[in-house]
Amino acid sequence: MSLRTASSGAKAAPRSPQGTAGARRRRVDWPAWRAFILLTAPIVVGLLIFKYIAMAWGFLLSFSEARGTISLGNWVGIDNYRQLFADPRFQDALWMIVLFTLVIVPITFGISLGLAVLVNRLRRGRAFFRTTFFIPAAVSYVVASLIWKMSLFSGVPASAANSLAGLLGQEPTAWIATVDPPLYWIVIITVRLWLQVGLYMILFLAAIQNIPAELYEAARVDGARSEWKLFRHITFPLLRNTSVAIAMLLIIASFQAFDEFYNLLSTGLAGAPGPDGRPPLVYLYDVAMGQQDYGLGSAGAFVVTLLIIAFTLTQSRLTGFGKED
Amino acid sequence: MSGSTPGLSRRGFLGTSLLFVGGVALNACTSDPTGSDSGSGDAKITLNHWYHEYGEQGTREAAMRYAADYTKANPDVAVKVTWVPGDYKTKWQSSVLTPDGPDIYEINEVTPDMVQQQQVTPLDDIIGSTKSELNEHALGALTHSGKTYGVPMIIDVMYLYYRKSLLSGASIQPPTTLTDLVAASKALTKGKTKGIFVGNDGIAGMRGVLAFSVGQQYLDGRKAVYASPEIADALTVARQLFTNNSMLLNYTTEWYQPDALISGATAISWGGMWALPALQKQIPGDFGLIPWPKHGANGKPVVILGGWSQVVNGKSKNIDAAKKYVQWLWLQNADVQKDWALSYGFHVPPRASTAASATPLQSGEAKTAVEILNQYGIRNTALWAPSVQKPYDDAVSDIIKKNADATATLTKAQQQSQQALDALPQV
Repeated sequence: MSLRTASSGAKAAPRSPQGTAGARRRRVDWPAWRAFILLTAPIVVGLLIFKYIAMAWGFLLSFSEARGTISLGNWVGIDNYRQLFADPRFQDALWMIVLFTLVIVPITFGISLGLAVLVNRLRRGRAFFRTTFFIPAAVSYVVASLIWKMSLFSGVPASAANSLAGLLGQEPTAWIATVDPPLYWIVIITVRLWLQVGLYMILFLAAIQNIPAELYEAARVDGARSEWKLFRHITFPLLRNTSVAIAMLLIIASFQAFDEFYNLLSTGLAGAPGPDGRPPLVYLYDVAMGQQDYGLGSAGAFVVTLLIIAFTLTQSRLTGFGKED
Repeated sequence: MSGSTPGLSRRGFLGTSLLFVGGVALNACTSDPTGSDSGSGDAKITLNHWYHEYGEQGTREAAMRYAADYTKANPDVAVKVTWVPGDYKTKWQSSVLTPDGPDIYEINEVTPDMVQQQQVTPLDDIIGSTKSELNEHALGALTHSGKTYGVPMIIDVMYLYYRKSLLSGASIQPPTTLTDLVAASKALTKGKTKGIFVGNDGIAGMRGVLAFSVGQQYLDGRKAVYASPEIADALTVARQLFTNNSMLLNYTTEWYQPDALISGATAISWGGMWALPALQKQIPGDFGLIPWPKHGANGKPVVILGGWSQVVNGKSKNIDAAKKYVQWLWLQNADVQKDWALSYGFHVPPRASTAASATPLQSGEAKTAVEILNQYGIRNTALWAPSVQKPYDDAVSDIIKKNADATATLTKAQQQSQQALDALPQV
């Protein structure tokens, strides 16, 4: 990466003229500390109370029987974990989310990268397309789910999907209610793609624009004529760190899937979704919030966390995330 | 501004503003996020009374008026009415985990866990002799070991609605057996109209009636008993509704709204009595109501009871005052009960004498609804808790939607339900 060293070398320039005086002032800079504490305290206290204490409490709850209460004390060891792993419905949920991850991550990755490359090649209107593709990322999952559920993929003949099917001579279909064959996957995958692709496209785009144009010129001089060759040998390899980070973000987001599943598949008063398309978080939401079994729910939350960590570690080991170029 | 200590004043400013922000945040945390209205200021006791957000116009004002009337009669007690929008169940559930939960709140059924954790308290002393007048099935969902933990406020009745014109147009009589219902739905499916609507997932309104429709039950005391050949058969027949394309699915509104029936998207629909005013206004004279049809030799038509009941939080600091208020509101005050049930939406007052004297229930479709309620009305007991019900719901989905073997699937689910039942505390 000799081309980059020139710019990164600039950062190592001598610091401030006070640098020499710094050696003399070894005493603690109290005003600075005070300001530091004052400025960070709100967020640190907030994190502590609303995240870490809550997480620690949840961890302890996962080892106690806590039905209709969140007080600790009724310790049951690993019974909650044992019960979860014996529950075929939780197993189904875990398999479902693994399958979902294996499907959604490569598709989102491919489409965002493809869009980024295409938008980057535009000579005019780049800002327009960038904004257009990015806007869905600002839409709430709940709102998008309702649009998908009530207008695009509604079961009535007038819905967008059924109008299209009608043009092709197909009968109107209940997209969300049909689980055999699993047509509801089309609905779930498309809504997540629409919501996510823009954001990751922006990340790829930023990374692509960081690639020095000189590399492409040099490659062209060396005889790499086709765009595909340039992509394969220059763009993609230089995007490695970005790609690995995006894959990791996608995997985490996929395991945490909740909103669109809950909103698309639950039926009003009847509550939580049925057995098809029920990811672990929806299942656990029902256990904790519907059945008031907070111990079992907490145990499940930690199982899902472990699963995310395991997947992320494996993925970063395989791709060598964080290693030097 | 003095130029000598700019740094200090900047820090001072920063510190003050941080304190201010902190104060605002703290204040925001302590004030009630649900937005509530308190009663009079000089009362000795303040009772917190939670309602879920009723959709009908005027209900909130009515609830506040009752509370104000109570304070007028009992100046020592102020009632703070909190109207909870959105996901009411998770909100009351998390609120009663703390010492500051509501004193009085409304629920659909009392689970054994709620009793065990003192989220409710027995109300037999205030119900007293009124008990014989209250609907036994409504009380069944509130009773454990003979103790009643809630007072029914309104009874919602659920049954099938049908469009008279569509049925007579196809020369079809209102179905009285499940087999008839399947045939009728098939025959009524034409163009943009489907035969039947029981919920957007094709299951929601139907799964809870099937056991009753063959003359059986889901639970027998603390035993799950729904894996019977008769129920399996009812499910297999009901599956035809899903497979023969006569069911309305993924409509834009749910079964508890009458829109699909009014728009003609379906000819028959599972629905509730609360929809009567809308139907009478939109399609007067063009709709009828029937119970869910029976199935098999010992079958019985089914009308399901739902509705809201009032409970008193067992952790409340003012249990006695809260009980007295509930007694005044939902047991003694017939005018309030009539007003609450019939002035805004359309429900049945739970007390027989009150229901009998309510004029809007004396004629037309409402009269039919009350008649079939009294004849066929049923609901599950308080032990049909969410954890017990879940395996059954999943089994029904597998049978109806994926053609899973009915008997085997039900048997497996029944074991899981039994485990969940055994795990419920004995109360």
